Amino acid sequence: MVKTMPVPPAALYNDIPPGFWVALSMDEQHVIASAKTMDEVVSRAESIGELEYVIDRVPPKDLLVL
Amino acid sequence: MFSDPFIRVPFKVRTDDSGKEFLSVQLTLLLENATDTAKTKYAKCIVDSGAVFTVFHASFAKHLGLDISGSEQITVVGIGGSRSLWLHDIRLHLPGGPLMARVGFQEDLPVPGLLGMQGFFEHFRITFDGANRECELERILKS
Repeated sequence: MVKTMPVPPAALYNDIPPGFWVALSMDEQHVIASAKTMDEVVSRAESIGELEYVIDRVPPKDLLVL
Repeated sequence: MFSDPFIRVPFKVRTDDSGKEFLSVQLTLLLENATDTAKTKYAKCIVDSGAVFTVFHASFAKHLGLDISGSEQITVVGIGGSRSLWLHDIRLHLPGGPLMARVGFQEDLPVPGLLGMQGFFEHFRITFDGANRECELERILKS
């Protein structure tokens, strides 16, 4: 049995500026918090009682990893 | 979440304003401070076969309680120019189980993490299936 990893919905980051950090729910289907820095997003997620979350970043529009 | 030695990861599809698609493979890992196991963070990382090292944004070091100021510092040269990395040993929870890995931390990394040859690819058989837009990873478990 091969497990398939979750993928966040394509539109999940539509309202978040490029370059912002994001805290996702553990099923990666919901945004818990977003902020300009990782420090801020950790602080915001934990201030609302979230202890486990996935840290991601909205890619800058021109970002292509080579 | 990380006990399965075989996993399938659908390609991440990003579309620009003109509708052009950009594909990548992203995987969520748990990073753990090996000397303080209460300090962990989940990170969504890009699987990058062109990266020699596995690298995370330097902010993860702070939130894992790692002091990287005394860590080995190296300069790496990539497509975008040269960058400084601080190398540190952490416990990485990968599909198939955790292991200790020497990873880099970089201040201006534009993504949470890059999973490269050292610390990631060396532990897997990986198939990129472009036709089905998915990646299969099989952990190489050493006896």
